[in-house]
Amino acid sequence: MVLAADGTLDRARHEQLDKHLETCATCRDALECQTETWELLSRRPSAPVPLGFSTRVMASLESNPVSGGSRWLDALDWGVWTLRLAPVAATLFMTVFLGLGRGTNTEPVVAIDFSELVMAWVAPDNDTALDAVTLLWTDDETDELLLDVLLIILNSADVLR
Amino acid sequence: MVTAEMTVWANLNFHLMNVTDTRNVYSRTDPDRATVDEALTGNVEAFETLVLRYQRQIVNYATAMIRDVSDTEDVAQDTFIRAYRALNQFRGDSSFKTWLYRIATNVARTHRDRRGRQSRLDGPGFHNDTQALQARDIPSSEANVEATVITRDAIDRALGVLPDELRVAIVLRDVEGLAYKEIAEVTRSPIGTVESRIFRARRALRPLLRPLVNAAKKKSIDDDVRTS
Repeated sequence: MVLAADGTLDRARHEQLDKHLETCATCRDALECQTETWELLSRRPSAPVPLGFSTRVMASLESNPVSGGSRWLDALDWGVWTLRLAPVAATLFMTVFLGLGRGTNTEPVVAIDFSELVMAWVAPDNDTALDAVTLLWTDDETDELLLDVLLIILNSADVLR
Repeated sequence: MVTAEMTVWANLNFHLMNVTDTRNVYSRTDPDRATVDEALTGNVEAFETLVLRYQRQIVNYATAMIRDVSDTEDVAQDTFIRAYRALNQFRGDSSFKTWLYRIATNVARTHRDRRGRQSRLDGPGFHNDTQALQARDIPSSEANVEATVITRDAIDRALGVLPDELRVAIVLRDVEGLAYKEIAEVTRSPIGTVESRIFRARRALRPLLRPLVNAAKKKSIDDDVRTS
């Protein structure tokens, strides 16, 4: 039907269609609709080329010479890629945001809680031990080493008593 | 005995041969190939020849696709600039003409999407393209420049109502006069899909263009009366 309307249907198929149209009013209407629209659109007056168009194009090419890096970037359809990459960007942002949030919040809380526990445990009756622990604490020693030192100090204090 | 692996290899070879054949055919038959090769060596005048050869079609296509006359030149100009910058990527598996139309289609789409976002920000009523043609859109039977502009604008406004894929197909066929095979290359769609889109587009446009069709028929009758 489409091809028949704009005159590109081959002869054999056109004959078949003509036979069918003799008995089918619906298809006759459809063909008339297709033909009418095609005739009107094919006679649409062409838009004129703006004066000096090619000169401006060439001047634009000369003022913006091709750089090796931008060739493939220019070929991309950024309207489409922006939409396609938006979910990926959102996921990355959320991951980074949540990751940073966890990293900044947890460590100080654990460190403060643990140091307070140690202080409460050691401070009442052993000032020497407290000083040792404080020194170790400022030297950024591991928790395991710190506990070992504390146990040694406390055991030695018990032996002395 | 034919194994599945052998079948896959046979299919792959067949596909590669087809691709190679297509390229060879276009390299031999594309009337622009020699000029494109010249432009690829850095000959700017050769590219200017291509601009002069296709500027009328691309400007006309841009006008039908985006309708906004003030932006038509930007879209057409951007098409040629992108073509120039991507010329080394032109592999010759389609003709230069269809390749250029494909670029123009992408540029027009990007432009229209940007404009669409802008008009949504501007609020409703900025463009009301969904109505059929009004009486003032129908040119008088006097042939003059104004009537030409009004007719073109009325058609372009009707085209603007269509969904993008239908509009691209019908503009390329009925306005630009490309063959169905060429449209299939531009849109990277099967020919059957192209035909279906054109059928639907023409059917959708008919009620919108009816006043123009009637005016054209009346003009034809008037002309017949005058000559007789």
